[in-house]
Amino acid sequence: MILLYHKVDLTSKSAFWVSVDTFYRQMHSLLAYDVVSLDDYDPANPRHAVITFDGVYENALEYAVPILREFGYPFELFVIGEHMGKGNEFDAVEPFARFADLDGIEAAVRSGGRVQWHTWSHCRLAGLPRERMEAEVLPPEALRSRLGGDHFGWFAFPHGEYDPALQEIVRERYRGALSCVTGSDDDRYAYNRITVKEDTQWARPRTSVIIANYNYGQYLAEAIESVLCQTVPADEILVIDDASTDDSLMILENYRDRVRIEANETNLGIVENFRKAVSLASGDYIAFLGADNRFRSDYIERCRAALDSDENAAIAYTDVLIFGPRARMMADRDNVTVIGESAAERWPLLWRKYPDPTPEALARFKDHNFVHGSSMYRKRDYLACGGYRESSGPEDHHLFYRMYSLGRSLVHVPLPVLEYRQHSAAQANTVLGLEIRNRALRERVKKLELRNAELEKSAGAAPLEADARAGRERNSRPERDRVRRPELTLEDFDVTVVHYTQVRPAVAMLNSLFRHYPDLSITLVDNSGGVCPAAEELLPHLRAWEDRIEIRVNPATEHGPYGPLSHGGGLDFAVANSPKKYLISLETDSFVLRRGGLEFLVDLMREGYDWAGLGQKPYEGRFGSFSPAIAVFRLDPIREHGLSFRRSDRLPEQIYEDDLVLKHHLDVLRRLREGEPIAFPELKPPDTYRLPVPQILNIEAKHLSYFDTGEALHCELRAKGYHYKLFPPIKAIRHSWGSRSEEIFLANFAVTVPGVDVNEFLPDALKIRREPQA
Amino acid sequence: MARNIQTKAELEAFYSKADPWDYKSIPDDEDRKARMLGLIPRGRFARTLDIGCGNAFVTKDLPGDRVVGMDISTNAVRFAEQEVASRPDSDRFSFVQGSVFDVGKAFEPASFDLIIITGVIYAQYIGNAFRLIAGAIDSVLKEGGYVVSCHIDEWSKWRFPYTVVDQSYYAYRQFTHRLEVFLK
Repeated sequence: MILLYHKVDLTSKSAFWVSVDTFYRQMHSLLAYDVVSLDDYDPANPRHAVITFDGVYENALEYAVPILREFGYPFELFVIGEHMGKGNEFDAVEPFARFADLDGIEAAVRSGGRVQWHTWSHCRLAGLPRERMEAEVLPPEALRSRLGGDHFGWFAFPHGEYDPALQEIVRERYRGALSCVTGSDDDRYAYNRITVKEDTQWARPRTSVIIANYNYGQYLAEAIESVLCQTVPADEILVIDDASTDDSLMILENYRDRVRIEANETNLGIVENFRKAVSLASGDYIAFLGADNRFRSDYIERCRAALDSDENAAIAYTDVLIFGPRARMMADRDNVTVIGESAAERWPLLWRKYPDPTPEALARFKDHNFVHGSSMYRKRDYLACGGYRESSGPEDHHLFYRMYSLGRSLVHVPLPVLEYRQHSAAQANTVLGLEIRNRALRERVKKLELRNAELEKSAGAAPLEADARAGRERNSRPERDRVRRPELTLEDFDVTVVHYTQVRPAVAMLNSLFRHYPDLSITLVDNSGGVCPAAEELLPHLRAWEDRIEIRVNPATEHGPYGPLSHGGGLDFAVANSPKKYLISLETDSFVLRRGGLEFLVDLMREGYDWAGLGQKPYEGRFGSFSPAIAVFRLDPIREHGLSFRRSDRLPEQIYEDDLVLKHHLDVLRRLREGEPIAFPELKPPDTYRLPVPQILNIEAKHLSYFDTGEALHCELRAKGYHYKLFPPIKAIRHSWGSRSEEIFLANFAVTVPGVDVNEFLPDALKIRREPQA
Repeated sequence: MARNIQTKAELEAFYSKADPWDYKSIPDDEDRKARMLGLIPRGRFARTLDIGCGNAFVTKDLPGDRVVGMDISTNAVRFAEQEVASRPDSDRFSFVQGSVFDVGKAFEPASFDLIIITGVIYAQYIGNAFRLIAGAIDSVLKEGGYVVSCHIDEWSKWRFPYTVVDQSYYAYRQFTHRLEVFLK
């Protein structure tokens, strides 16, 4: 086929304009062809394609030529002599465009173009005297000699029209000629062309992406979106749901106009389900995507290119990016490199590299798989080897090995374009695996329940299950029995700041507090345990407000996450010593207060809540976690039930989801109950975790902080049916980040708090001075 | 698809006042800025580029030893310069007039390690030529650098062909915003 382009620009302004992104995709789809010059063109060869431009506009050179160069395609430029360097005003129905001048044409030649002739003036030639015809048909000698080389071997008829007299002249002077409206594949002096428009498509392999889902409703939208936004789109997207019992089908309804949905009535199991999916897919290339994973936006572009360019390749396999809550556990695997970290989720991003299909790798392929199940493969080869089959190992490895055994080759795309979510300790990415895991989980829950019962018994508490159920029931009618307390004012609240290590952030926070509430008196709990800067060290920086600060020193001196130096320990002390019935707790490490922040908290208590918090980072309600930077409590329930900010007789229901953490929490609880001291370095995992200690400690440190800063209290109050509200931090405070150390704080604070210069809240001695720019 | 792209003159006229989008009075804009700043990876950035910086509403709070703001509107660049002039760290900032299509020509190759692009990748500004934008950004972004993209989801279907580090959807005015951090 011979393609004919006119204008290529940022937008498509008429049928003769193709936009840049479309042009790129069209060129990409020619990877399945052999793009040749007109001289090499054989119309009988269905793989041959020729790219031609008529008129040759500036925009085609500016936008199309760099793309052609990137693909290394030859192309033919049919110039109109008289128009070079001028506008197309004569073409009244078309938007304005300028023709390329000779300098531009010469530059395009250097990028792989050849110059051909499209007449002197583009006038209609039929019926003209022979002399005029010849003048139009032959390029001027000056132009020929300036361009030199092997140009002007081909001619394009103006308006695509020709008659025998014209063809005769052309036949004498040219190697061939092109039409655009008439013509044929047989007549070398009137080959036909396809006028390419924005929506033109030609025969090429089609891609079907199959998203396989079973109870992955929570990830499904992300998977589908990742396929919908591909740089080279799929020709077909099929979502096959294997009888999910979650809300997957409801989510799928939203995509019904953009994807094809196949919902199995009964669960078919992995092999039957996959076989069914492929039988429904119409594409020449098939790629499966697990509904819990994502494609990077160039997955299809890269894999298509790999298969298009190598006819013997049956499979294009890629590297993998591992992300998700359990990604950290994969970090020490072979061929895995940490390339980044999610700021919102704190999980690492790992690039897992796979080997090239070298003879060595292929010799081991039968037993050492290096091709993941989301590789793109040819349906032709899938059918030839009988498709997915039950096997002792993974069904995809089995399939790919059989394709390879039939003499087909594999091609490696060495980029992490499959994004794989590592969301559980023993990742189950197949239905089979999920079922096995479900069984194992049920057994584990049963064991843990027994263990809980033991713990409950030894602590003399009510059985956990019954109590939690009662709590849930109470929680299920929160709006009705919430009693409003409109009489409350800020006077009723003990504003408490638990202070330990961080001087500068504490001073900034306190100054912002007094700036907005100059009449407020606060309690400053010195929770330093005698080892870090004591609360008194803050006073020199808070002179103006000194008489509004009452310091209470927590006398405890034990250290460690459950000792007095923890925030929870400080709050327990504050509650025990507070003269009031309501307490506002402000942390000192992550924010300066915005005007109205305290009123916001008072309003919540007026609304009848029993506690509320504004988290250090948005939790999005995923774990219902409670680790607030700013919190407010009604103290009666805490006192009445003898609750603590750092001890719980109860386990949060949600940690059932996470056996690793649950195990550890149980262990911590047992030690707390039995009065065993717990210091951070002692928190070593049992050997059975089979994970490197530092990684485990990271995970544990994260979850320990739930207990440390209020999670324990949160769980207790929740289970008792009290009313609470948790917020992401944005509404009432200027949030910076959950800093772990003053160093980080100093490095980032001033530029990270939007719209606030923290120096505004710091005395001269503590002002952050920027180093002179290097 | 839009047939025409908004011209510099139109955008210049729009930016005849200091805050034509009312960033400073609509709380959603403080929110979206806080969300973006919260997702920018930790660590030191030697050179940051803010494409479509407007009046420097976001630019002025960006990390970076050097922060360059770029906008097609000369007026916006002038307002941006005024915005940072009184800051103690004003010498961190510089602003240049230029279209998003000029990014590759305006700067040295691989000269930024953080690039912010907010409200630019819409058909009214880039037509159907995202490839050129992605290509230009790729040429000036260092290997291992980040692109932070913040756009109204319904209006911007394009994604950078890089690894997604973070992605967040949230309500913004009457729309849904999509905020993404990509790693090259």
